[in-house]
Amino acid sequence: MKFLLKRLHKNRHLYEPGGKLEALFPLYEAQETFLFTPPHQAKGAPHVRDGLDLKRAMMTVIFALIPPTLWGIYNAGLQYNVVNQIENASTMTHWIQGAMIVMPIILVSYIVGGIIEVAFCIIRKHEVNEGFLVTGLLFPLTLPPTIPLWQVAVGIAFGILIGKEIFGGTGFNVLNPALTARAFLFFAYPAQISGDAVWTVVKADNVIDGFTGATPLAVAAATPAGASVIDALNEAGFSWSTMFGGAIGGSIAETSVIPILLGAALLIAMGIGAWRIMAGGVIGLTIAASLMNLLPADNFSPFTQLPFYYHMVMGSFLFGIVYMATDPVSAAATNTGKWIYGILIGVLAIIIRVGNPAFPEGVMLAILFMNVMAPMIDHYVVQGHVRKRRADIEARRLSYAKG
Amino acid sequence: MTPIKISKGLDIPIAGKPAATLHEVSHEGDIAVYQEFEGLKAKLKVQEGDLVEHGQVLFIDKKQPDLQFCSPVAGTVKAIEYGARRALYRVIIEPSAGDQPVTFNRYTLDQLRGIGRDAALENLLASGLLSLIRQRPFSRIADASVTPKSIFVNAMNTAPFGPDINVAVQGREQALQAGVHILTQLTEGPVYLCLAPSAAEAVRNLDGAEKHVFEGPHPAGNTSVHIHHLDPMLPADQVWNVKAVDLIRIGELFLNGTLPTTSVVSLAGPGVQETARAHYRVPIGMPLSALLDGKLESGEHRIVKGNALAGVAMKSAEHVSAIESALTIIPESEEQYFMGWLAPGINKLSASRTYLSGWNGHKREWKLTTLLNGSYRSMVFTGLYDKYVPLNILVDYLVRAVLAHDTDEAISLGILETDPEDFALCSYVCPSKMDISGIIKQGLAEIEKEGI
Amino acid sequence: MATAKKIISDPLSDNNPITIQVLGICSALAVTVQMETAFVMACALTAVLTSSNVIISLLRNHIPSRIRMIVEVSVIASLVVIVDQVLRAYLFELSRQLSIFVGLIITNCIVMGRAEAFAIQNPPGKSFMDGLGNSLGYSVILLLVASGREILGSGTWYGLNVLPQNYLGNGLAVLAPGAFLILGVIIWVQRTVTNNFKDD
Repeated sequence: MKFLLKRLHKNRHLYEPGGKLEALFPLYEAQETFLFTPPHQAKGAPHVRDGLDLKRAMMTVIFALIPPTLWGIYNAGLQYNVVNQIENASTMTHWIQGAMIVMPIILVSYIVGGIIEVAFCIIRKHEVNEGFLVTGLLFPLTLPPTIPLWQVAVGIAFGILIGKEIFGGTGFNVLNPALTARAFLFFAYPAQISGDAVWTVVKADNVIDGFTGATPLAVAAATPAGASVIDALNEAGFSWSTMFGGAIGGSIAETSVIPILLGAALLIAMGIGAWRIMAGGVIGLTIAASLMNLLPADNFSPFTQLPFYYHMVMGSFLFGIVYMATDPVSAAATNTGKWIYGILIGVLAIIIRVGNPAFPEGVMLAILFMNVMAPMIDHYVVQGHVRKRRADIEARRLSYAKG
Repeated sequence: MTPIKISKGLDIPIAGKPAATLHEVSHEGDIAVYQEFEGLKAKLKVQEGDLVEHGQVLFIDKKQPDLQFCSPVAGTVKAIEYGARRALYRVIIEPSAGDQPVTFNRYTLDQLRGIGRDAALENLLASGLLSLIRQRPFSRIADASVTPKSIFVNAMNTAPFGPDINVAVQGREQALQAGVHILTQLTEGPVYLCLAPSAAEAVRNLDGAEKHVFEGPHPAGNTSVHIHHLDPMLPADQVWNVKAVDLIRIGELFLNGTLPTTSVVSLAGPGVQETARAHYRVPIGMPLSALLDGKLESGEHRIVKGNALAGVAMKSAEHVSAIESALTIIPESEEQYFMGWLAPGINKLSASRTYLSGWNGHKREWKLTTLLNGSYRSMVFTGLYDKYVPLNILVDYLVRAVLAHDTDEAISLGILETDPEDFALCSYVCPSKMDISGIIKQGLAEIEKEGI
Repeated sequence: MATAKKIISDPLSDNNPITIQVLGICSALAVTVQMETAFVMACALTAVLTSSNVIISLLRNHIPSRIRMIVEVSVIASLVVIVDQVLRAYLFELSRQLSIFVGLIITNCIVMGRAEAFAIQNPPGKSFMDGLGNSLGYSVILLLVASGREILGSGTWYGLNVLPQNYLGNGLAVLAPGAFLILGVIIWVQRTVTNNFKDD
């Protein structure tokens, strides 16, 4: 490895101030620090530093995204082979077919996003931030596998430009850039990201009779008055266990619960993901769904009667609350704030899901809305903290004065 | 005494703890007296070539002209050096036999129980040893015109590394006791003595102070933590604090009537040879090179005045400080590891669980270096800092308030109860490698300038 | 003549009513889905603002200052009614598309703002310049936003196809948030280029 390092260092002078390629220093820096840890020394106190840097923290999120990504690849292939009635499809063909569907989406996201990110680093003269690697992977995982690649490119460009760079770059953004990108596509090109037909890749020349790719959420929302949503789901082939397992159509990485739980476990164990937000989201969803259950079934849509454990495994709730809501930049930062933020995401997700027929899935909007609200939540938590801490000191001094 | 348990914090498992042994060091060469107090404007009282006696005034504080900084030896002023903006940097003295040392009022231990505030301050100001007592907020030299609400004596050290009071007190038990008596004269409130669970009998049984034991990881030994738990401050309050190792010198001054010439320093850190990691009684102001000669490991090192977390790097041509009794030697490193972001992290120490060392690595000792272990990044609100500051302070928001120059907000968030050293662990763990202590320091300076 | 030039050019960039003072946002969002409506709206506002400025300036020495607001509003309201009637008479379809937004020019902060800030204390000639300058500043931004929205949203500009037939319209540009985004980008670009903001 010394040889590689020497080769890198041999060209370093070109990129350093005064060198020919000075402007491209962020590119060189990104390459060197990708291969080797940076050689910087602590300038002042403390003179020793912890091993954790932001690169490692972000990489942990990427590692936690691997299980859902792999599942997304496998499932995209599986759904393709099932819907297109490919004979004798083996596990291997699922993987290969899935990779052919999903990998281009991820690649386009990384390449287009990367170009914009690096361009801004060069203009603003700072090092390439690794937060982009997470955004660039999160965004494609929330898309349907049929998404046109040009829309992936437009979406990630919008997410990084408007979601992040316009505010000043990593650490300054109000909204989660990956969700901003998805929301952009959702409102700009609704036909390619919502509805019944987009969740499974269908061969162009293969018109299948009777195939509708409705998602469980669409089925649930369309259940006629008086009928049971659970029955309707079962009829459509979406039993609770099927939805838990996730071998169904949907956004690339959202369908199965198991890999998301694996990722969540990794994030929590590593101390990177905010467990308070995840727990808050689950609690909020449970409360909201259970309260909905109490509404009189006759006057409201049957969707209100669906138990919370169905809501939990449907749609993108878990993926959103584990990976999107916990983005430290756009989430609430105080511990109390994290609970409130998480709970409100769960509640809002259910309200939008059940209450608004125009949006079959409410998680994305709930998280984005709470992103905007997060600074306000934190503000009140901090003000409460300030009041409490002053009262606390005064009370302790009073008891001290008394003896 | 039930110990006060501190749970937040971290003991960095860095190698190089000083042994509990005390070696005498003598030195015949030049001595340096530093103007090492932030915010102090010095007015010189000697010129190059002057003969000075042991205890003679070298410079005074322009703000507090009664406060005199004196020479620890008799000799000739060999050089006066200036730093940035022509501020006094240090006075170099070539020792020689003097006529008559300058004496200060002398008391017996029993007398000290009731000498009164004025008599106590007189000696402290005339000898300059008042500079060993600090005043919160802002951690400046105590202001003799202020009667503090209470005084905190810090007889413990949890940062890596500092001298152990149990070692420093050996043979000077009376002086330490005298120091405590003097402090009780300076305040109408209590004098708190904050002890480690391991405190020796001589420290534990001191008379005249309210004793409390603090137990837990660093920063359990920081004065801010003690103040926060024993007698919390409101913005208008002023408390004094002093380190027990320094208090010994104050006691010696009052008992002997002459300015103490030696202090105990701890020499520690991964850069020191294992056999040399110990405590040393050294002449104040002796050159570092003479002290360190033959004691360091091979290679390039950073000599830190103070502990590894909050100390100041200095050059090997410097001398031993009169106010800082720890020396920490850390090896310099620019090593680059292949694919560090992917490595399991057995060989890299981290408090975070993203590295394997975060799970069980804190049981063994690590030969840490000055490597930054990352690059500078924008601040990300993670709530991580709060785990390392046991002060009921929202660190992220405090830092943000300071960066936004919102001094009112910073005060209400509690900045005045803190010292930059309390945030050293935050800088240590920060994944964006931010200098949290430096930001807090800048915030405190800004508030001090504006006035509360 | 330098001041007259400055009165006209200032609101175009350095002191633009929309991008710098952030006034008149409501209509900038409402009527900018297409170029045509935006253009008519820009003309309507120009007519109202310049004439209201001139009229109020002429009256300035006769208006008691305690009731000046109500007089200003009456003048503006009368002008708006005239413009609205003219549009209905000659451009009925468009006026239906613009619906109440022509009427709402009365409440447009720019009109009232210029009357209060400028016309009430300056002679008619200068007030005319000022009205014209501000109308142009408003119109330029309105037309830019409308261009962006119409091109992105429908692939046309002033009803003409400017992008390939198979261009898929961007739904967001047609929605009101699209106008916000485009306006935001215009402000970003303007402030970056002119460096006309303080970062403190």
